[in-house]
Amino acid sequence: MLRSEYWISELADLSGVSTRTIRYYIQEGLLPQPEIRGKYAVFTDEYMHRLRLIKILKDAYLPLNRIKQLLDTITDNEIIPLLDAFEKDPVSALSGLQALPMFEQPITIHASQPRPEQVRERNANALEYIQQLRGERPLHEKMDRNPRLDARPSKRNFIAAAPTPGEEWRRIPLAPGLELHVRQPENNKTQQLVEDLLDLVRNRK
Amino acid sequence: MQAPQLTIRTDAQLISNSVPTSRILEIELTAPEAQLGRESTPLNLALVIDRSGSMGGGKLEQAKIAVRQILDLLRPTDSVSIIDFDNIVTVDAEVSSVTPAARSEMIASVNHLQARGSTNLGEGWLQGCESVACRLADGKVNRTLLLTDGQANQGITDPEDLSHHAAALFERGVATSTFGIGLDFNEHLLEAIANNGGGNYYYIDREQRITELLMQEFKDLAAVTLKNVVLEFSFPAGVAVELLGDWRAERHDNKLVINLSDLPANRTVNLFIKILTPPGSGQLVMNAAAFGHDENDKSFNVAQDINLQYAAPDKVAVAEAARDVDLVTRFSTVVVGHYSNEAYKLEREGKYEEAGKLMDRLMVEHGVNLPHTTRARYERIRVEVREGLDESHRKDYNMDSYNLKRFRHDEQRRDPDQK
Repeated sequence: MLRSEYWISELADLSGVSTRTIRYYIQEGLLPQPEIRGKYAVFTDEYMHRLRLIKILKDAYLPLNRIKQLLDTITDNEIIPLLDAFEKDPVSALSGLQALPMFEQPITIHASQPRPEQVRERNANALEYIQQLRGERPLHEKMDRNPRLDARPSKRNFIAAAPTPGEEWRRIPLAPGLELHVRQPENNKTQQLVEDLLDLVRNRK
Repeated sequence: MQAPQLTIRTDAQLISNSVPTSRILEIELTAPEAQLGRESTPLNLALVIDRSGSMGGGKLEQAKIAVRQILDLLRPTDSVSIIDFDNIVTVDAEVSSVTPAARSEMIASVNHLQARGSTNLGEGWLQGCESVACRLADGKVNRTLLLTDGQANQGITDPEDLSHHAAALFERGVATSTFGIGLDFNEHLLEAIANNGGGNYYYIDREQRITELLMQEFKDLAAVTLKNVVLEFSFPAGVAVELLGDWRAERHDNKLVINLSDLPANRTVNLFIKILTPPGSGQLVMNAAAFGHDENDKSFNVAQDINLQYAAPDKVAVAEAARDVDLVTRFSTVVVGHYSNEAYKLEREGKYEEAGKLMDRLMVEHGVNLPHTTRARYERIRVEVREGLDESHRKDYNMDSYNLKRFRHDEQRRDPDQK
């Protein structure tokens, strides 16, 4: 049985991972910050387990950032069963890993994919999809022309409240990423305020 | 009629029989040349133009020039709608056959466009998709082109909602390409709509390029020789896979289904998949298959297998040392494009340190494989994201990463250093 607490040098000896690498893993967040007792850091068995798992995954050429993602998703209680699984049957342990988010993350998952022969049938649905979407929206904010859309009933407020129709705003770019919107028409007081703001911006440039 | 070309390659043939092995696969699909003398595929387009106040001056004028040029090239077999929007959406013109008479009428209505109001991007785009959906046909290229310079600040504004709808409409046959002009739009939103919508994303850094880039997309659409292209990658149980490049893809058990939309003549698409193979013996067989419709609306189907050989770890190490360096370079380029874009998202949220760390890991792992100039550029970006980027760099870098991850080496690709 393993003892439950180690100094960093003991942990290094037992795990076969250098103290420098252990510190690096801590810094990169692959291992949690250890408890500091007096002048020294104290490491528990959990560190042993996590180091073993890191080693297995590194042998599988997984990059550290992926290993970190994986370690972030599993709890201390899950590590030992996972290590056992790897020892007994690496194949199914790996297929278990597949289900983890790290492999799924870049893949967008939506409804099932149509085969070309299904496309025709689905095509009929594009219009329905949009109409359904529209049916769920408030009426007051759209359409100069196209009366067939205006006739659709409103069911629930799908979007954030829109400004009153016909309301007009002046947009003044102040800096990249920064804009001032002024409702029209502007009264003298607003105009003066806008001028003051613009002066302020000009002077700062 | 030439057949589409499909190839699948790996960085090395051997995999370990005792420990999991990480391998790279590259699937390359090339659309055939157009047949001589054959009319190109009919188009069913919606041109959706932002006319909000900030489009005033040169931008809207340039957009009008581009629209007129496109109208000039459309034929009676094509259908088109012109939609413009600020806080209100207007259907300017909608014809199911672009005859000379319809054309001059449409040009006249485009000439009257004036900039005003705020940006109901969601509704404008949706109106475009609706117009396309009304005339949807399998034999056509069905696509909405959305041109905007602003944030979605009215109507549906949530980027996730918009990308979800883009995916849903693409699945139902309506694709979307997006064009962002200037510095005030959200590059991640427009890119997500295009990625999920099966189209292309373009950043237009100055108004003079509006016509050039809209025409580039239009020419691609007019030259389509493969339609509704779907690529399926099948692999045995126990293999972990990761597709790079933000393609629209779905995972079904032991199959990855990637929707590539329509491809113009001679366009090559390179897809990179990272796999982790389980220990085993003998051979590990995987398969790539592409299907869809060709120019003549006939369905096509091409497929190729790839076999990896199980071997003892020492032999695998030897094979590892001799792996296909060019393929590794292409792969690393795509990985850097893919994940640097994630770093820009973090940067945009003000998480500079996180963005920097992501770039660190990326460059430590892949920097050494990159072509020299790409590496130098991304080493610099790695430093810059820690200090925060200005809007113009955000857009430039995002476009550069987009081109890297999509492995586009055509004229659209541009080195931000060479502005």
